[in-house]
Amino acid sequence: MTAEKYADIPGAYPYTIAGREMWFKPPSQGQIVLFERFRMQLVGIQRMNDEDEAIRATIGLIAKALNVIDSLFLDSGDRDYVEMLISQNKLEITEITPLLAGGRTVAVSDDDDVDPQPVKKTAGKANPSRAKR
Amino acid sequence: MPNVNVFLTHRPQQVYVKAFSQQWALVGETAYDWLGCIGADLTGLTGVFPGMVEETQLEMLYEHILEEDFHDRCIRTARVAVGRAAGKDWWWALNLCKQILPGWSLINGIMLREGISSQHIGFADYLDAVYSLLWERSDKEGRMKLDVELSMMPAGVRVKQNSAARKRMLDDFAAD
Repeated sequence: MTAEKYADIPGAYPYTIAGREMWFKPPSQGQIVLFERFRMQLVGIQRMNDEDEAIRATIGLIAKALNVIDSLFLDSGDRDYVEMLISQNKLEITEITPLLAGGRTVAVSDDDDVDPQPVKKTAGKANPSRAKR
Repeated sequence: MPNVNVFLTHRPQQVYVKAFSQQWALVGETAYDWLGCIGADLTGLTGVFPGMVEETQLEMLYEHILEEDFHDRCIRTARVAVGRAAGKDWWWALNLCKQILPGWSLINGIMLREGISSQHIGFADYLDAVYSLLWERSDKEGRMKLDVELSMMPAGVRVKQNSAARKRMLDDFAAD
């Protein structure tokens, strides 16, 4: 039912947060690249060993991530629910950051010898509009 | 020296683009920078814009990230940037990059043996060098094919033509 509701939205996909299935649109490639630039900036700051600056940059990056993620919800009710969970400290930010990669969890670490985590998308409910093509 | 040098006008060392009602400086200096960033996303060219935007301007660009047409404007801006850096039509430069990148080991190897390193030469000059290499090594038919391939616009792309360009095209057509 929900899949049909979002059939016209390119790339719309379901993702489960705190046991609740929600639908999202993927970020655009332009958004991903710009966000990645900020992430690299943070990596550079962390290498400089300036702890205060690193904390400031990390907080800034989290705020930016939340701002972009906020725009990816397809249902405002889901957005409110997630905001409530975060405000009540019932949800880790890391649980929703995969949304910045279209729902994919890339790697748990920068180390090359670490296996990437499995994809956490809800199985078997891809957007039917894409399946038809 | 006053900026009357036609190369500096058409092949600037520093590329600026205007988007979101503001000027943005791009950081690529060498062919290596440009090819690498173009290669990151050959379709949307997001490696060029926002990928090459000067770091000090990132916060300003972030202010536009949630705009509905952010991605489309990035693509259009990146295309202009590629054309500006190459001193050519953006699609011509992009088509040549699409020929260079898959055969990078071979082309880079040949260029290095010719004494041309992508890390020490500007983007426009590098494209000239590769184009002349491909042209030189082709027969008549191959040269025609190369020029046709490089002149082809990507599917679904339209380019706004000014009246002077339209007149020039009609004159060329009439002369044929």
